[in-house]
Amino acid sequence: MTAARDVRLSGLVASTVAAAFNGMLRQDVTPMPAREPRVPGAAVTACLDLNQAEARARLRFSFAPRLLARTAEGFYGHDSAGNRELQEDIACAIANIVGGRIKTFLNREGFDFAMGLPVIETGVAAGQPIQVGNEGLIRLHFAFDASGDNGLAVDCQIDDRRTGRPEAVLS
Amino acid sequence: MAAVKCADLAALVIDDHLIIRQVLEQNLRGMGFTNIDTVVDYQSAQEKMKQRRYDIVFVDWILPGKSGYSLMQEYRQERDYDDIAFVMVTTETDERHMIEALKAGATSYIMKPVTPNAFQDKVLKVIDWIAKKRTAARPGG
Repeated sequence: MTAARDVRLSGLVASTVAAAFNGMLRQDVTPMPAREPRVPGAAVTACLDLNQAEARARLRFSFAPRLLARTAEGFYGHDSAGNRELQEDIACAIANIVGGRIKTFLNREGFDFAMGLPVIETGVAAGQPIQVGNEGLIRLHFAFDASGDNGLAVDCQIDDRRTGRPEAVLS
Repeated sequence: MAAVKCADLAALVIDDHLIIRQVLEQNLRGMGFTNIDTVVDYQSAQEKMKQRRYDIVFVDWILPGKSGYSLMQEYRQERDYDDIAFVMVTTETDERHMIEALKAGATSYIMKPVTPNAFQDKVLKVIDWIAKKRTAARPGG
């Protein structure tokens, strides 16, 4: 049951990321096998939590700066490509969109999550996957150009205390 | 029905993310809109709406501070704003939210991510709504 849900959730995240980047932001992002490093360079990482009384879903979106720079350049011009503030705005907007879809999906599965606002994570932890004890972490990565470099890594981990144990769902 | 041109309509876009404001503005310009203002939150939207009468307001449901949904509800209680179209643009993809927004007076509902074709389809329907409102408001209309 959970495995089937994970597959559907993975598909939802993949299609939402593609619609956001390719349909809305005019980029070319495609799902790719998970690998290390998650994204090249110093990642811009947006974190978002879904919360309810006895459960929490943590979402982490790590973006390659080159993907964000290219997106910023497409909308604001060449001089804006390296503007960190614009890059973080794009990262949070994507996190918000994908998080909204995940929230709706999980609430249809019986949760009652409310979504917080995305925040940018900085420092050593940024760019690292969510680490929760010995649980496996399923990862979803996206390539963004002909080089095949990782453009985006999405982690999603659900801590469901309703059933008494945490459960890794998707990354 | 009165013909309504995009170039004659004033649009206000309210979203806390610059990239989303930019996406909506570019989509609107692509449709022929020329009178477009963008603001980041509820308070700035209120100030803009005091200064100018808009035909379409695109509002993000969730904003920092007071929500876009609250803003729409407040204006919908004023008869003076009956002919202004409010379009909720949101990450809230739950059908319950959509129904709630429409019951509260939203003219339309656009889910993020905003893609050009879906956006244009929705906005054209909103323009039809505006045209019908204007026709109905004419003497004998």
